[in-house]
Amino acid sequence: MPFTYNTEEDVAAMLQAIGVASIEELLEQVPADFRLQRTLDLPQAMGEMELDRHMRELAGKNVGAASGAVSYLGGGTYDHFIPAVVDTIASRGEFYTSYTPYQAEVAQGNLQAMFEYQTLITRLTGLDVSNCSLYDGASAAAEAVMMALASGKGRTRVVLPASVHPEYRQTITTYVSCLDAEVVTVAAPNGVVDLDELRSVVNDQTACVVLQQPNFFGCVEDADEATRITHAAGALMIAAFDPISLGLMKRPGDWVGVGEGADIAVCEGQSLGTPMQYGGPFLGILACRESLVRRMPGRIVGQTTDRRGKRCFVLTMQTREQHIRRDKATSNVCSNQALFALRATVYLSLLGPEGLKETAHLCLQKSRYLAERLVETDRFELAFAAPTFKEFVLRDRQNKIDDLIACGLANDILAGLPLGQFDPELDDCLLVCVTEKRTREELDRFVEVLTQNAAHPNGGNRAKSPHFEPASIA
Amino acid sequence: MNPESLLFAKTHEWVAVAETGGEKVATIGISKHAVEALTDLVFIELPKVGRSVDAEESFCEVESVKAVSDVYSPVTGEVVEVNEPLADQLEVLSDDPYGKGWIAKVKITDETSLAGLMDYEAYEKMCAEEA
Repeated sequence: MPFTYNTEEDVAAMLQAIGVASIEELLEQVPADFRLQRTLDLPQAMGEMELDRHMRELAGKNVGAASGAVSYLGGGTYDHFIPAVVDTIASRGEFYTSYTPYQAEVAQGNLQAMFEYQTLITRLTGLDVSNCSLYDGASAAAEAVMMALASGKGRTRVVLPASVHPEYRQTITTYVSCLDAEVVTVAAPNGVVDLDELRSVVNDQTACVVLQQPNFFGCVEDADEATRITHAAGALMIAAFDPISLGLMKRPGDWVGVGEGADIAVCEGQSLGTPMQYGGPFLGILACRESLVRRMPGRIVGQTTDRRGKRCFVLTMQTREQHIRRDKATSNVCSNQALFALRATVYLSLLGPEGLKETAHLCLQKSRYLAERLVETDRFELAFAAPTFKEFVLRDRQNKIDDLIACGLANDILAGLPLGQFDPELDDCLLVCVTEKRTREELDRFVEVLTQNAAHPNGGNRAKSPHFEPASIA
Repeated sequence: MNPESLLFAKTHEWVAVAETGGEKVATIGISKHAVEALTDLVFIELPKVGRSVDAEESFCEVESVKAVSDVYSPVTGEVVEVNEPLADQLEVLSDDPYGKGWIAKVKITDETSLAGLMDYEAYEKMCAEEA
């Protein structure tokens, strides 16, 4: 669609064609109360050169990994390395500008790319089928819960450990708020779910348990035991996983034993070749067992043969989707994140199993190195004793989290995610994330800056500490 | 089964009532006319044994390549048996809708629910009018 604005002559000609004298007359159907009785509150128009300068000034105020700050922020969005090839391939016009490229006659390349993505995701998760992506990790988790409720033969209980990302829990709670469903939260007093409490709440009315592995605090859960408890009650296990961690850890489908693990696995796929960009757009990954495929939301690409017997790709099983199933559809998702799924495909195929393993190893080793260095300082301790992967909860004995963050910012370091906003008991804690990108020099400097215990830098042109609205979990 | 001996609901299900041990059991399927209208069938979600159903309540879903349709129980009662093999052999439903393509058997708990059903002749007439 070309962007061409209407000249006064255009407007006059159109008004004349439909037989009204003015825009006012055209809009008179809309009651005056509902109309904006003033011009829009916008600044003066700018020329291109001026606009370019203005935008650069605005962009210069940003502090982030892209502007050279060293990021220790995690909690769902990660600063992983993105090989240049990912951008090169994903920015090809055929991929980058295509709009819903699913017509089999003209979109074989796109469809094949999505089919390859699905293949990679099923191998990564150890499950049978994958859709070709959802919007993001949190909504994928909510969609998985909807699947469990729809296939749960009237079971209504949804069990969420407190160690699942609070925003995922909020999203799930929102999705099921108007359904016949009851969300039960299980405590995670030591950074991992309390298995005894889990046992006591998972019953024959339980549709599913959602377990994040590694969890929001970076801790490794006893996923095998949680799965046994869940399956013993006839409920579905929904795994929320970290795709990079699967270079080292058991695939969700293999928890307990090969093919006996999670029934549905979801994750935020941003780590796989997509930059952080202020929280989106991202990539929702969802895979499940074959028996659940008819409840699976979103698009699925299938492989078939054409009239000549040649291999080809098509969207398949569309009767699951809302445009056919209408009110009986499990989900009202009617789109996907093809470009980010493509990036994930390129990323995973570049790294391969060995590359993913190496990336995961580096995350583990570097984050443990930093945790140990910080604990040596006496000012800090680890809040939880459970093993961690790439994130850990750091407790400041002096309880000066805001100072630490300000001090980090003054040194171009994004020190971590303050956890008080999610849980008042963790008011003196930071969630610190270390990816493979961090160097030993950076890690050592982080320890140095944080232990300097610098006074609050006053003013300066740096942004304030990252602040998020407290999440209220129902 | 000879369709002329069956009862039909206006939503295109057929019913054959048999009496065993003093209880009336309805065998239920969907008509040839309905099967043809659905075209290529891809999936059936059978009802669960033990489920209570009311007449005109949806208790089964049939999926074709283009649409999903409800199958409504023509009678009030309890599902006592379902045609499990059907799920993997939908062609049986297309080829023999009045025989091997039966869907479920429902023990009738309220015989008044039979009163609203049509005989074959009335059903055929209804289909002709719909066409």
